[in-house]
Amino acid sequence: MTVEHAHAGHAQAQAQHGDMPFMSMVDVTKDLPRSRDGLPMEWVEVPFGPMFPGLPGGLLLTLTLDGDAVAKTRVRSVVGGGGVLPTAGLDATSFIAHLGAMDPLAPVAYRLLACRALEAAAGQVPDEEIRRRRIAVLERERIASHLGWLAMLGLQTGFAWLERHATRMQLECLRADLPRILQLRSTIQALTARLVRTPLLRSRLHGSGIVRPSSDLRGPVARAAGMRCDARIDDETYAALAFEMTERQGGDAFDRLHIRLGEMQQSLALIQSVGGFAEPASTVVGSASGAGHASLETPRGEAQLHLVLESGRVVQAQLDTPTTHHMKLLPDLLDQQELGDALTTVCSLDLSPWEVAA
Amino acid sequence: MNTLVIVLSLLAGAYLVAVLEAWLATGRFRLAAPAWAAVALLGRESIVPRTPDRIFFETAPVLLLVVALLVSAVLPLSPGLIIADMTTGALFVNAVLAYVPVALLMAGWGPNGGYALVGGWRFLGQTIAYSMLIVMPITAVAMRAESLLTTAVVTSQGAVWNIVYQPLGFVLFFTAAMAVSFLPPFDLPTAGGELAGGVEAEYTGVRLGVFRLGRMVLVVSLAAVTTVFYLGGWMGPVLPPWAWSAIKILAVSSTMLLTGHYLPRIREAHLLAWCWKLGIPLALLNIFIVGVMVLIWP
Repeated sequence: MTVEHAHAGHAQAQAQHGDMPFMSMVDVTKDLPRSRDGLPMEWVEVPFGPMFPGLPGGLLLTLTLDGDAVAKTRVRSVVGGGGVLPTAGLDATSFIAHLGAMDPLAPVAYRLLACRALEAAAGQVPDEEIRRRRIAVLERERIASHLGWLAMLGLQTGFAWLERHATRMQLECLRADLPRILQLRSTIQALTARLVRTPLLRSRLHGSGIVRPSSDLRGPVARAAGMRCDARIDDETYAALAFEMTERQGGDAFDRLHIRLGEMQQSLALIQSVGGFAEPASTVVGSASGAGHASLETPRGEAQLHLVLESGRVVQAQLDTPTTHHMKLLPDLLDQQELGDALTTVCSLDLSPWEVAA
Repeated sequence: MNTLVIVLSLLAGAYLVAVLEAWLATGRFRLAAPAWAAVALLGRESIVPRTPDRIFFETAPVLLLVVALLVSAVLPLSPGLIIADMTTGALFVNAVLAYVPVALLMAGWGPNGGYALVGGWRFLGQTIAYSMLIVMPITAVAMRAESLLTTAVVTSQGAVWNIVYQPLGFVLFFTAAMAVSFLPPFDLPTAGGELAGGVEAEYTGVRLGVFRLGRMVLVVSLAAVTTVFYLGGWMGPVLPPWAWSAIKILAVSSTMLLTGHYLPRIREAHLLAWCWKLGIPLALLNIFIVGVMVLIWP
C-alpha cells in the first residue's frame, strides 16, 4: 500500500522556495484541505482491509486521514453474497445449506433461520424438544462468536493475552459437547471478571464509538445503547427457558463488551437448561407451497428472512441482516475520531462482511 | 576488547529476548525461533516502495541499531567492563535516546506509505509524553550518586539499591523505558491491529531484520540502563559481577515483555494526559523525596 502523499509535493515546495525571496507558509499550504479547526493539512487516503489484522476479513474500510483523525469513511464488503438465491431456485435442504454457507461466522444461525422460514411457509410446527435443542446449538454458536470477537478485539487493541486465550476458548467451544461446554463456564466467568477489572481496557474502550438508539441498531449494539431489541424476547421457547434480555445505557464500545460478556454466561445457562443439541440441518417440507417469514437473534443481532416456496422449492427469498444496518452507521460514527479509536469502534460493532452483498 | 565483549553480550541478550517474545506470541518455547526468523528475513526479497525518500528509508533501521548500541557504551557490566566511563554518562544515555524518535520518524516518512507515516507521527507524540519521565528520574539517580558517572551510580547503591531508595522513580523510569522501546502497551508506532506494523510496515527482508534487531537491542540496552540506575548494576553475592548484570538485565527485559502481553494498547491521548498530568508531578515529587533523603540518609 503506497500513498502518493508527500515527497513530490515537498520537492515542488523546495523549488518554489529557491525562486521566492520569502518562504510563505500561506502560499505553500493554500491548496491543502482544511481540518475542522481550520488547520491546512495534507490528507491521506488509507485502505484498511480486506485482509487487515484486527478487522473482519473481507471488510474494506477506506479512511481519509486528516493527521490521525478520520475525515471521510468508505466501507464495503468484498466477500459477501448477502444470501442471493440462484435464479432456478433451490430445494429445501439445499436452501438451508446455501444460507448456512453464506456466513461462515454464523452458519448455525442462518441454517436455523432457513429452517424456521421453510417451516412457516409449509405450515409446520416442529416438536418442542427439537426447538429447544436447536436453541442450544444457536446459543453455543453465540458463545463461540462472542469469543471470536473478543479474540479480534485483543488483536486490534494489542492485548496479546486476550487474543490467544479467547481464540483457544473459541476453538474449544465450537467442538464442545454438552459436558465440555458446561466445564467452560468457570473459565468464561474468570475471563469476564478479568476483562471487567482491567482498567486499561476500560479506558481504551470507554467513550469510543458511542451510538444513540436508532432504527438501524441491532443485537448487542442496540442493547448496549439501551434499546430493548432482541428477537428472543418474543420467542415462546426462550420464554419457557426464563430468558431475560440484558441491556446497558452508555452505547459505547465498553458497553458492547459488557453486553457480549453477559450474553456468554446467559447462553451457558440456557444450554444447561436445555440439556442437549440438535443441529438445524434439514426440515421436511414435501411439495408444500406458500410464503414464510422468520426472524432470529444471530450473534450480531436480529436477522429476518422472507421466502416463497413453490412445490417444495424456494423460488424467492429476501434476507435482512444486522451488518447491513450497522455498516451504514460507520461514516458518521467514525467522523473526526482518532484512528485507533475509529478502528476500535469498527471492531466493537462485530461486523460480518459475509452478511452484506459485495 | 571491552567494546567487543559488550556488543556481543548485547546481541546475545537481544537473541534471548527475541526467544522470549516468540514464546509469548506463539505459546511454544523454541530456542532456534529467532535464528530461523532471521534466515527467513535474509532470504526474502527486500522490496523498496515505489517513491521513497531513499536516504530516510535506508538510514532509519541502521540509525535505530546504532542508537541502541550507543546507549550501552556508558553502561558498566562489571567493574572495568565499560566502553567509555564518561563523566556525563547518565546525561549521555538521555542524549542518545533522543535519536530514537528521529529514527522512527525517518522510518515513518521514508517509505511514503500511509501506515508508516501515521506510525512515525504517533511516535513523535509518544516522545512528547515520555521524555520528561526519562530525564527526571535520572536526575534523582544522579542526585544520590552525586555524579553523572554510571559507575558512581552503581557504587552509590552499595547499601541499598535505588529500586528501594526511590521506588517511585523506578516505576516512572521503567514505564518510560517501555515507551522508548515502543513495547506493548506503548506500541503506538507499530500497532499491529491498527497500522499493520506502522513504521515497520513497508520494510521487508534485510532492512526489516536490521530494524527488528535494533528494537531488540534497544530493549536490552534500556534493561541495562534500568539495572545500572536502579538494581545495583553488577552488585550481588556469590556470582561474578558480569553474571549479576546478565541476570538482572534479562529479568528486566522479560518483565517489560510480560507486562505488555497482559495489557491492551494505551490510547495516545491518554498516554499524553497521564504522563503530563500525573507522571511529571510524581517525578517532581520523587526528586523532592530523594533530595530530602540524601540529606537524612545518604
